[in-house]
Amino acid sequence: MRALADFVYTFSWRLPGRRWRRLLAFAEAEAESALELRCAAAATSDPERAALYLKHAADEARHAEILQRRATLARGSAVSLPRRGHARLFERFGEPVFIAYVHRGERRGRRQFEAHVRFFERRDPALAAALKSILADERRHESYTAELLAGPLADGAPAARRRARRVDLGDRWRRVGSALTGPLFAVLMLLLYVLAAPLALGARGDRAGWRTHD
Amino acid sequence: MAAVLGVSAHYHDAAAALVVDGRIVAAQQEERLSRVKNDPSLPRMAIDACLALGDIEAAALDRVVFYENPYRKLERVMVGSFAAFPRGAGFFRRALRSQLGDKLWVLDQLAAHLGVKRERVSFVDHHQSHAASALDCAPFDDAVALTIDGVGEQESTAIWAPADGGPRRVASIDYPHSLGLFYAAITAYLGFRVNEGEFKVMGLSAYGTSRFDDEVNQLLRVAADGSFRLRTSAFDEHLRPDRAYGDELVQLLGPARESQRPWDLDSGEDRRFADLAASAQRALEEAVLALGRAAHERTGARHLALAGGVALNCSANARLLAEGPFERVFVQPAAGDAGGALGAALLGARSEGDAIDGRFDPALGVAADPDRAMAVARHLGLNADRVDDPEREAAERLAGGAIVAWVRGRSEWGPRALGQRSLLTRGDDVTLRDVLNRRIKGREAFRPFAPVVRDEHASALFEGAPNDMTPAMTTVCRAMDDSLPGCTHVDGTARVQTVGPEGALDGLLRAMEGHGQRALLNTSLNAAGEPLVAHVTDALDFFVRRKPDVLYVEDVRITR
Ligand SMILES: [Fe+2]
Ligand SMILES: [Fe+2]
Ligand SMILES: [Fe+2]
Repeated sequence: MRALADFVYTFSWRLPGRRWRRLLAFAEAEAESALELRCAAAATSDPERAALYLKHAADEARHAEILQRRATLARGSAVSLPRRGHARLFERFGEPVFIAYVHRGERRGRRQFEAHVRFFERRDPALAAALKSILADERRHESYTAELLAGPLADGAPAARRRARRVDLGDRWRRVGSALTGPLFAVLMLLLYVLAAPLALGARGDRAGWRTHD
Repeated sequence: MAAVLGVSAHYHDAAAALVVDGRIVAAQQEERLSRVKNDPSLPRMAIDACLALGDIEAAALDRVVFYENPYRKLERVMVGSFAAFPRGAGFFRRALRSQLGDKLWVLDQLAAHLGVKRERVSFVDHHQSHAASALDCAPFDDAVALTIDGVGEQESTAIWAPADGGPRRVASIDYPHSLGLFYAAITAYLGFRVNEGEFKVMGLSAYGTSRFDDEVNQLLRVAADGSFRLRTSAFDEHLRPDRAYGDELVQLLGPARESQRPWDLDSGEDRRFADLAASAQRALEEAVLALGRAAHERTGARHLALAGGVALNCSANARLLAEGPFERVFVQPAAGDAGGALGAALLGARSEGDAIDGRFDPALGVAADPDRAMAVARHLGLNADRVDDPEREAAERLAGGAIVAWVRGRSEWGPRALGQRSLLTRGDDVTLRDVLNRRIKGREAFRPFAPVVRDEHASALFEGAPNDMTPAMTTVCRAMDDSLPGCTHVDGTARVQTVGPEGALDGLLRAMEGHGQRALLNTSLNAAGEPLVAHVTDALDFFVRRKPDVLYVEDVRITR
């Protein structure tokens, strides 16, 4: 089972030219979750949890930096993080669902990073060491979110976990869906563009100067 | 008597604003709450924050107004992509996807988020929103508004006369002839991010000599009637929204700068880019001056109110006041598209029959909560204590060379920190400036810092200060001497903030006078590429990561 998971998680490292892109994608995900955790810190009513979320956010921001540096090294020239939004799960579903979702992500991330560390241990020890330092944090994130769900957020935690699972699966399904429909949409739009172009022939040109209005 | 919510979204800098009975109650940019820089998404968090600040339920809103016409915008985007046939195919696909996926349904999205009937949600024109925000917040009458940006639905520039139902359009210039597009293209060409790096171009221009005027004049030409014309073939924004310039511009100006390379203004290559920035800035200023003269000729107004993204160019604003035909000039501080939310709310209030209360104080965002700051800080393992006289104590630390994070009251509206969420240090010490730039903020060394000074000392330190623009830092003034090298730009100007007796920094500046300092360096409480801090947790996060010496949240002092 572990061998299969390892193979799945590490498959794309074997593809040529993909390494820096994949590292950058990891960096993006880390940066995104840092932003979301800062929002959670602002939103939670409990100051102790606010502090926990801020510490967690600082970890994720550091991970993003490490991975971005690694992506730059792998590519041989500087890469910058594209700027994206985040899912605003706290705002949409409330704190228990948000933490249940974060917990799922941390658990998955920890498993993946374990596979990556094993993969790079001999191939690229420096990268493996960097990933290992991240892994230690991910284990801590996994366990403190579990503690929150067992302790202060235990009220309704089972429902929150179920909801988080649905949200998570929904997200992944949407990603698959848009990967599948993207090309179809592109072809249809190209067709529409070519067909509709003659209709727009008389369209307004680039008229300069003042237009006056009375 | 009505409660009206204004919203801007889906392009860049989404925001919400609440006007109740003609008075501006709250205004908040989404990025400050979502922590996503320039966040364009439907500003759900900002909307909820505004309603909470106004202590009003969504159901009690009489009207919700979106800042532009989404249908006319779609039309322009479609027609533009056909005009670029066949190269516009990719743009057409991307645009349709984002339009159909989100933008076209924004009025329904707003109704759904607020749980109000769809009939209560309406829209106004993009540039009229800008114009209303400028005219209604200006501290004077007998004014004309000038709105200048990249593009609204169709126009990029317009002149507006005040009228009862909201600003009346006098004359306008259509996209793609656009000063915003021109400056965006130069921004991208210099390797900065469009809609964000424009400030950097302005800062950089002071390091150059404008020896590329002939080339730039071929790109942007001012006509005798004050209008202007772009050489549109050099600006194919449709095809490359992240780039805005075309191959023709590269042929004219030479190869563009790659975005990741660190700046070295001693190198010939980067000097060339600084010189290009200088010529582009000069061309923009000339064009803005010509527009100002045209606005005066067409209306005879004595005063000018500005909005639109180009009005964030404080050097151009300074020239408008100094060389233009107006006695006074005001800029609505959130001049970019965030400010459209405020204008939309004001227009909605007028259409509900309310008279507008013109008093305007930019402290319109979420409030600081010192109790919470203290509790969270202690859980972070920081020292947090109440102090009797934070001003006196902070002044002592500042005099000793400390870098102080300062959080007070409701967060500021617009891109500048005005003392509500500020980083402060002495302005007379270039070492402190460099520490601030490199270690605390992590940004380019050529980015200038700004001074803050009380009204009564302003004229002794800066030419022409105070004026209608200095309270919100939307202009620059020449420094009288070189006593503030940490916050004066290389060209001898400074984007000075002046503070009246009610200002958030008045007490601190008074306390500084006891230490022989009449001004402080004031910069935004954020690191490079991050939105300005809003909530106290953001301030604590900044304090832990970037390590200024001390953080004051009202009367709570936080140290490590
Ligand atoms: Fe992480
Ligand atoms: Fe993590
Ligand atoms: Fe605009």
